[in-house]
Amino acid sequence: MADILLVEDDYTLRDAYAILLQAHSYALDVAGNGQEALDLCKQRKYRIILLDLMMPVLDGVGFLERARLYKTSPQTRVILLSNLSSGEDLGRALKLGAHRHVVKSDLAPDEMIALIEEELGK
Amino acid sequence: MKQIITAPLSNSLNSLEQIEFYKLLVNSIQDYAIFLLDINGNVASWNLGAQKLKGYTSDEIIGKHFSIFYPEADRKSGKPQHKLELCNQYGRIEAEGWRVRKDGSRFWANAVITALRDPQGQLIGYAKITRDLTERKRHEDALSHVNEQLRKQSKTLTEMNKSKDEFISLASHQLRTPATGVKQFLGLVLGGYAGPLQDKQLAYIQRAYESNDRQIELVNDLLRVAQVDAGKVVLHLESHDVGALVSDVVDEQKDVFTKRRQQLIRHIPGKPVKTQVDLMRFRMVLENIVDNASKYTPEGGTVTVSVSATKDYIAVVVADTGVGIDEISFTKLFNKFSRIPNELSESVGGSGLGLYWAYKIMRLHGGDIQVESAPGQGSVFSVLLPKETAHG
Repeated sequence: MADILLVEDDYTLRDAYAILLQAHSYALDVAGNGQEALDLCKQRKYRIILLDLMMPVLDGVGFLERARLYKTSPQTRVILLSNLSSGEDLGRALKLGAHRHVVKSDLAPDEMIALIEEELGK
Repeated sequence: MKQIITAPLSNSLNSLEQIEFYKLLVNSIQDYAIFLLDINGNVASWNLGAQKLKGYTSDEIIGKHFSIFYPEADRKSGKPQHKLELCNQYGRIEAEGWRVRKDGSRFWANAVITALRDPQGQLIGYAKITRDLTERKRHEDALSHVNEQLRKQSKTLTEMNKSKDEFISLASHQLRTPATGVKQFLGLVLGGYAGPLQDKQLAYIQRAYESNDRQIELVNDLLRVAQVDAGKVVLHLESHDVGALVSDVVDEQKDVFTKRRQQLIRHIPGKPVKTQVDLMRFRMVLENIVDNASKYTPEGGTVTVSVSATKDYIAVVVADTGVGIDEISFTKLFNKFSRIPNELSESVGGSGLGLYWAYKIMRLHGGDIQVESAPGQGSVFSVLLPKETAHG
């Protein structure tokens, strides 16, 4: 089981998170939208999915609807990493099995690592 | 002595007198048009009320077909005749609609037509009673027009509100995303992920990082204010010990006080003082008030935080020895984007949204924020929570 799947369409953020997570030696896969994430999820299981909500091609809610992780991969922890702090999509994503939500802009790199450590401990 | 009538008036009249009596009664009624039609629908009798309502004298109208009272379109479509047929079938019909007076003007009529039959059941004519309900109709139409307008306005407002909410939500998202990129990369540099930096470089990047965080905080404040203004805040009320909560908040901010060389005194009762609060939001209100007290107090000053209970309220009182607030600024204290100009405000920063939001949140709790202050004499902010029940 790989450690983390990062699903993020903004390449600046994708690069920043990748640099951080790889520096901490996590096995990391990266997807630029929900469809790419779906393809990766068919090949392997992840301990954590860091999932953005607003993305082109297939958004976070669309990914959760299709991936049905609660069935296919019940051990995977899904953390919504979005800059939306309210709204319908957020509520739907949590109903579709996402475990928690973090506003990206509130999260410093060391807090991100603390979050990952905490989730991996679960 | 008064005469006491023990039997109905009609009992004391013979049958001819009775007919005359009823004729008199019908003729003298002015508010209802009461008239008879023969079996073909021609007017056979006419009362004063009918003359008043429709404008015809009995000489002018008797013998004429009653379809004359209907608008032309109804006459053409055979409506009057159809009404008589229905009445003949069912015995009685009631209808409302426009009718026409002699002078061509229209009125909204309520009419009851009753089929009259002889003892053998043979149709002998119709009795018709008509009332003028134009005034009522006018009121009803006006009301229904107003209702329709209100419904349309309400729909427009709901749509506008929805698009405003969506706009704020999307705008916050879009503003946060580049700021997140800045935060991440500066954070990586500060965290040593890009290799070692000289102290000066670190210090500058730290300042850029903090500035970016202020921008993020501003977006967060805007979003919070937009939500509270839109009435979208629903409090999650639970019973909490306010004393313990205040202790937590003060503990978290201890470093800030130390850094600013301020003395922090707390008076918190030994026994729990419990009431209903929205934990997350009430904490933010307290953080806001305590942080403000520290910000607007010069180095060496003192901030005293105390919790007390009166009969109705639990009060968290934050008193500082800071710069205080002048009379003009005092009135604007809880306004949006209000920044109080004083010797410390330059260095303090802030969006001017914090107190506005805090006040709104306390009002939602059924509480309040009260302030006493004078320039140079410090400020006392009292955050009040209702003791037993909370509103919201």
